Amino acid sequence: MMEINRRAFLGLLTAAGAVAAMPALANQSRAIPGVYASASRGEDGRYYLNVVAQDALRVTHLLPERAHQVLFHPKQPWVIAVARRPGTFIDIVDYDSGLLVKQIVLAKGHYLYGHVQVTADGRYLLTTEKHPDQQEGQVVVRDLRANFDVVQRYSTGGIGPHELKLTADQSEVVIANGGILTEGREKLNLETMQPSLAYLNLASGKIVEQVALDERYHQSSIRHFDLSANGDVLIAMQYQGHPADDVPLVAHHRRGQPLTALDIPTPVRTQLKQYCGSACFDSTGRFGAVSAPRGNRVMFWDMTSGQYLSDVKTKDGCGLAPTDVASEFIVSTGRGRFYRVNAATAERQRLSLPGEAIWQWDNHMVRLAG
Amino acid sequence: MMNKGMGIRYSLALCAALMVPKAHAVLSDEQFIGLTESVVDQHVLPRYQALAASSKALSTRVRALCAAKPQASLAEAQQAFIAALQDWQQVQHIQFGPVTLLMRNYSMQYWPDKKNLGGKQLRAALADTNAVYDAAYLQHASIALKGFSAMERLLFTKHAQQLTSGTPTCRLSDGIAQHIATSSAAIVSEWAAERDGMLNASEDSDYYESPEEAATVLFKALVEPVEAIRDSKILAPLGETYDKARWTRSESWRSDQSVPNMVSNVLALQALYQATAPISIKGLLHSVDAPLAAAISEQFAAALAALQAVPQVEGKTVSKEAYDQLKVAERALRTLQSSLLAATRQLDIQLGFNSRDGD
Repeated sequence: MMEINRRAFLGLLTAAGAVAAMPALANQSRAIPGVYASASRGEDGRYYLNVVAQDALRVTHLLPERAHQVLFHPKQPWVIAVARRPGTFIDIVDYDSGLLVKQIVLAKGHYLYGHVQVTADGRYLLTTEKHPDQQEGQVVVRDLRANFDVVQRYSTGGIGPHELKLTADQSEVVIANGGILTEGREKLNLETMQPSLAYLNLASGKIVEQVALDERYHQSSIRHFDLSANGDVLIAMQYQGHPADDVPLVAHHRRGQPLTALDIPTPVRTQLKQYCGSACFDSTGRFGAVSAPRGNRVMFWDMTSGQYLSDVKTKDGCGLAPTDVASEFIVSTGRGRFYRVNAATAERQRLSLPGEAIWQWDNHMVRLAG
Repeated sequence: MMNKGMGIRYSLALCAALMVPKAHAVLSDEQFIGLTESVVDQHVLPRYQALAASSKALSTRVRALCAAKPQASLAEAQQAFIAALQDWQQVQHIQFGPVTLLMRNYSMQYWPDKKNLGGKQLRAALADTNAVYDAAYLQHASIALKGFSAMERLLFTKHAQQLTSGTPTCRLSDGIAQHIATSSAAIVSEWAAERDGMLNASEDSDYYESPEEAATVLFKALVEPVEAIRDSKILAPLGETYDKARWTRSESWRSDQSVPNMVSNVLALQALYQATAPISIKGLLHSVDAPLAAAISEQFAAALAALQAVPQVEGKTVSKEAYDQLKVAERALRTLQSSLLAATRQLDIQLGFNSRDGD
């Protein structure tokens, strides 16, 4: 009973994943299906913003320091990279010319938490930031038509906000308040941290809904999430307590409902080192993926039922983006790889990247729509 | 979206010029496989076999004590515990393979235990007078109850007074000792498949996608524990200043093994660095940076000497002399840590990007 047969164990891991499904991926092209952007570390040890497509590495933009989230502008041929926490720059690069459109540098004492959104009309840029006089985090709004100046600041209703997303109707911004008070990158309040998911109404500036897990899970930091077109939120957490504790690491939310943990089979959960990286919905919003770079895998759920489906091995994989095919995602890794993975079949296919250089792909990636 | 991908790539051209061209990989697949084979066969497997043997001996001693066999004594059981604990400390750096399945690494030793989960679980288990502390019981027991930390409380605190035939304390001690022994034996037998997986890396393997990926876990096992020893085993109990020291935060203070644990840890890391043949990490490093390879050997010796010079710490209090010497050891380990990181750069080993420093 004590002995765990490794083969049986691995079988258990993939049992839910319909291993016998058609080998659809094997027949597909290994070319990158679309245009994707990510921050990276180059072979020279410096940090970059890259745009990658089937034919070429289209942008290789040297950044002042390490970046975190990247985003395509909805109206302009721009790609945006935000400094990693606690950084102070936002680089906006024209991906056709490769030229820097604008480098926003924060005022002294302010810093970024690493995430960004742009309103669908292309006018406003929203970031999560720390104000030197405020313990709670802020959503800061800049007007791209008015010299990128700050036009609004809202409290996020919690300490240490991280990822943020605009709702489809643009009326609200959803914020992951990670709960962790930091100095530099040192964590100061792990015993008292209170993470939450907050919905901020942009017209009133008020938090209109805020949810958290049960108090006993207060050390599960709510850091990253994706928001589907129909309002589902898939949350990837990072637990700050004991490495052996059995705690939620992935959760689901919908406006007006409680925050609910999503099931992860024990043999998988115990490999994750309490750390999830990115969350992502597929093109249909039915399938959800969460990356676990310390567990070297990406996990999948059917979001209509909340049922765990499967996982695939992706060494040091963290960046996630959908393709235009249902149930399909691209995973980028810190070992310089892109994989196409399928939530419905648990298949994995390594993709060819243009060029010889190895780029260590950083935490998040994004797909150019259309 | 207009002009997608049609533009002039100034940025790319500029950076191509700036980019330092990458030399061929420093180490070959043959070297990675050779290193993995040497380390698994000469470092990993013998240490797990030693742990299996000493934990079996521990279970035998505990059973003899509880059966009130002639000549059986608490002192003998304590000695057997220390021998098994030190064998565990010699594999504590191996955080890959069978020991990681289902948190077995934490059930073998639950530490740190800031919330005293071990103490609470032990009291609760002993209060359950009807319990049969057999394999099935321990399989489902709290992770804090299954391993060396709980065993240490039973053998080295007031619980030890109850270690007489038929008491719940004796039956639970027997169950835990058996559990440690069974787990250790299981890890040894599972390593046969893990060894195959490590030596037969391929793109579609369940284990490792390349010889380099398999060997990288060995480098992680060498580099990362040094920081963990500094942070958790030295700096956390010592605090900022001597008056803030709390030795009860140290790893095995109940059995006075906190410092010997670190000696075992560093001995094992030193062996991982330089004691395998024909291929060792030191040998590979020597071929690209001989001075660094030699310096690391000296730094291992210095760190060991510093730890071995720590006056014996007994009970809950660390003396000022021991405190100061532990700080010397901590600085020696810091030097070693930075050299080991330099070695990974020289050998072009990537310990992890997102997995090591995410956000």
